[in-house]
Amino acid sequence: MRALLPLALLASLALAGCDTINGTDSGAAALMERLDGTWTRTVTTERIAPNGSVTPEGTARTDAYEIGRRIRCNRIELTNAGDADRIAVQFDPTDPASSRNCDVITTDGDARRLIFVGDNGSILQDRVATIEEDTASRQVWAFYAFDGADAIRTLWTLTR
Amino acid sequence: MRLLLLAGLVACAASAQPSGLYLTGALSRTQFDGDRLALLGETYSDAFADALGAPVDFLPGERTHPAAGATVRLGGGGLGVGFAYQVGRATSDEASSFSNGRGNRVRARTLDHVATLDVTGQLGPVVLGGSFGGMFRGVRVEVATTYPDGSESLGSEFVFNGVYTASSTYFEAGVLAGLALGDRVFVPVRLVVPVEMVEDRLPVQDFDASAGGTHYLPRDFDRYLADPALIDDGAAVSDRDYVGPRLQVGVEVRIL
Repeated sequence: MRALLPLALLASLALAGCDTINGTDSGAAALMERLDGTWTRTVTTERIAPNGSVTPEGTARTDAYEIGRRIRCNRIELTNAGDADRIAVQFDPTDPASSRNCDVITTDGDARRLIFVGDNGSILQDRVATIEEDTASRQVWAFYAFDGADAIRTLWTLTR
Repeated sequence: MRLLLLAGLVACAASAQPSGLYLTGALSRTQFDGDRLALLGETYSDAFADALGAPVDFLPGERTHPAAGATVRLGGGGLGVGFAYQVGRATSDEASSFSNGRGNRVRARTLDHVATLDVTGQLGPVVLGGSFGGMFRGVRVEVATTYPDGSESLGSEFVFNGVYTASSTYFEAGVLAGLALGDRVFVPVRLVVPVEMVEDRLPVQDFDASAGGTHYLPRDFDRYLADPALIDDGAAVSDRDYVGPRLQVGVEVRIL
């Protein structure tokens, strides 16, 4: 038993920094597994003034958001290949057969952001959200933009 | 006089360094290519001098950080060899602040895996020798925009935001001096310098599927501002910027 202690220690040391050796992004794969399924998405917008005050803008919008490896996107079925990316589809829950907005989403090792690859059909631009909350039943993603001196924050809150 | 007394006590407590497996805890002073890394902060601070609260050095050129590992030491007749493996992690966290309440926050970390061969000779409690190793250093630099309400974004509203990574692999060579205390404790001091076989520089880059992987961490911010999307290697922070000498003081405790 005593002889196993050093071996266990060496193994733990080797694993301690495996993100420098191993590029498989286990954090990214775990996030994607948490995201799999159908969510209720609520989209809200906030205005951040230079003095730090935050005020809501407009009214919240709610729809359905499905994330998975194989999802129907309008007339075709999309399939992803990797563990760290998924197909994401937004649709009207009262009319699932209506037109759907489809994205490929991915993240990186620390799973602190979500990347919408080739967002809005443009292969020249990714759109990136910061992950504010990350649990199996609630996700909050923040997108930032600008309006003069103010910053505009759009929050996607996914619950189920 | 007190120093002589202390040295005498240490010498009495010391004995030949026995063979065995040692656990290591250490403190490292790691130096990077400070001049190259400093350019980001200098050019950024110059570019935003009118709006910036104070100049900022986003990528410090030196870090003091802990390391841990294990060493197998074999010896006899005053000569010894040691095979060591260590993991070390250094971090920095620097932020700028503009007059409009926004800013940038740059968190950098290096994660070292070092395999080392020590060849030593021992005179009483004093151990002297050479230290030769292979270093695998992972580099991760996270650039966020900060907002007046305290929130932070890694998002795409600025190209500068991102999670940039690289890795540098190189050999190290240097000297080791240490003190054997009793039959279980060894206090080594290592000074090693990099021995680079490859001079090519690879940029520290962010994941960017749509841009073909050419989203680099800027080193020269003026060139970056002139052409954020197409910054070339010469204007980017590179893996070799994170190569430099290392001074380490450790304590090894024999467990087997």
